[in-house]
Amino acid sequence: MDIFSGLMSGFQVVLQPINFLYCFTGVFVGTLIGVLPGIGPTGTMAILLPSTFGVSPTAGIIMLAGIYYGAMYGGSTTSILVNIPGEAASVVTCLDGYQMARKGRAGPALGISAMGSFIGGTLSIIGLMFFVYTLAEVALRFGPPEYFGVMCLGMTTVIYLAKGSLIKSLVMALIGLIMGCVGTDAISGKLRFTLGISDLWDGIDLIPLVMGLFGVSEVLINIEKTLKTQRVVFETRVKNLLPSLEDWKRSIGPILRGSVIGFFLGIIPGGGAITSSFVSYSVEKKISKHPEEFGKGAIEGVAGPETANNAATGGAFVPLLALGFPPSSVMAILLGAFIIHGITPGPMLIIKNPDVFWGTIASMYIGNGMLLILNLPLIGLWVQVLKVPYSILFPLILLFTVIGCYSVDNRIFDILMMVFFGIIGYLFTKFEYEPAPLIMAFILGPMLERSFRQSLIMSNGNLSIFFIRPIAAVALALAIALYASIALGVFRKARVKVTEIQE
Amino acid sequence: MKKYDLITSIIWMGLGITVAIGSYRLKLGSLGNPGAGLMPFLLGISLSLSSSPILIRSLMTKDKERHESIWSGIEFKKLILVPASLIGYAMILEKAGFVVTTFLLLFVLFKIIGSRKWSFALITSALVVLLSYLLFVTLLKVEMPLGIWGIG
Repeated sequence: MDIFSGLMSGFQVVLQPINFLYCFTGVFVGTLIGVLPGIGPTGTMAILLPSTFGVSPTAGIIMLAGIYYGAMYGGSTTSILVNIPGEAASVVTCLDGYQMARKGRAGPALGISAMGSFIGGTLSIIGLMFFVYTLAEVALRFGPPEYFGVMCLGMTTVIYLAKGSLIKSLVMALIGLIMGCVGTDAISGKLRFTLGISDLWDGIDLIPLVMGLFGVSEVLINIEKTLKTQRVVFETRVKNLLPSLEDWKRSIGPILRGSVIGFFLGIIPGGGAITSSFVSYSVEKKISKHPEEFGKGAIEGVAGPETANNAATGGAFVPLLALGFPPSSVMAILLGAFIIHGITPGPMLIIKNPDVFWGTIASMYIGNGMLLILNLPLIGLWVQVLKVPYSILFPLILLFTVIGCYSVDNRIFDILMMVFFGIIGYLFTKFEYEPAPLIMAFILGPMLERSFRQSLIMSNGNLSIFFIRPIAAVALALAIALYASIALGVFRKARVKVTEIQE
Repeated sequence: MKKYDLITSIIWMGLGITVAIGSYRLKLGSLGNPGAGLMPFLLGISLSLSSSPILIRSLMTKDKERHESIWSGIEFKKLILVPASLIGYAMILEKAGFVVTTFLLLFVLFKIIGSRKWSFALITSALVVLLSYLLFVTLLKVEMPLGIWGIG
């Protein structure tokens, strides 16, 4: 099937009422949690994952994807109106967006972020289609050693690009891989690390783990200090949502550049929406003719990053759909959703499940259109949502996690696991350990181990199999080079510290 | 961070060694026929090795100025009550049923942790129970336990 007819069939899938409804639900919930600080797309997707069990995989995936890119639209609203990022990817939007609002230009700021998000979102879907198509062709020829190499390289970039200490990210990834080993070994049938708990025979369940690490722990972080009962919302009436011609002239460059930056950084494992918004901001500031305006309400500083973080969501789907490799923790949950629905993303997806593949892609066009309507004419609704205090919000978040978690298997054990990982996740945040590499390693662990053991069986135990096959060799060489630079970096940091003490 | 890095790195090191020993017992197999323990064994070793730089760094550096403790201004009461109320929920859910348990959970969260007024907490909890019942049980057909009173 060529791209055009594929896309057309995809639109037919999305326009079925049930899929259309789930697409709308996804982008609506996405905008909602994007607007609300204190709950992110990762936690929300985990919470709503069980509610997709009853419907077709296509509808489920469409909804979960909608939550992700919908959150990027919603996040900017909070940044601009309250100066608090609704989403981590909207942190930079606070800089100029809030300043614009203070100057009475909240309307154009909101308008240009929605427009930019729409342009970046749609452009990146076009890029996504072509890249997935080409990459999947290549990946069809991958054997276990190639998969092993590519997964190692992907994990390494995730560790490399994770925020905070590199060595701590590495530790997190290793713990994730070890946690992935828990349960019955797929090849030998032996029980591993189940600690005598029969509920662990099938391994640690993804849903309680993610809900704990990203849902419960976020609540704990938010309530640890005295709750403010009311947020200060910028109370000027939001008007003139449509940016003027002058605004457009200044924004069109940042929007186009942001689309490209976002898309390509989205593809890179560990890159993603947050990084791309920062990169876009610094690029715009650097090439601007009037960099002194940045931070004082320059529309470029809103248009670029907001476009980039949306374009990154499209890019992130490339490795997931073409290789079955999740480049971020959000995509790891989506991968989990695919697996739960009995579908393996990867090169065979286009051939085996064309309706899921093209349906998802087409839904992103439709979803971006819905978001434009949700975020421009209906902006007043979200301003009201912003006034909901956290003391009302967090009991609801917790209730949703508990019900979602329990409803998967009707197991009390899952709730207890979730609370356990919630506490662990809270401690991780306190001690500055980033949970994203752990989740990704946890999802990839079983696949990584399978490809590793299959490769060794193929080669009769000869490790050279990883270095004589070109794709595997290049991927592993790059991974090793990155590790070497991590090691040197740690050494350098340690050295600086030592000299500091000596002085 | 120094003190905490020291503690966490020792925990990771211990965990890595424990995993390696456990994996060794699971049989490593050979390279040509890798056993169940091979991968976790390598991971356990890697974990204890890669936590050593954190340990060394925390031993070598001295905190120059006194940082504000990461625990300052923290309300431990809330921090303990939230997980405790969730565990409580898990414990009585199948006995008392969805409606009763959910109401109790929400009331505790709104009243004690959210510091809301009695009347507000009571009414909101009741309302949320009703709405969540309609959403999850009626609309999404999620099966929640009925409990001994047969409601929920």
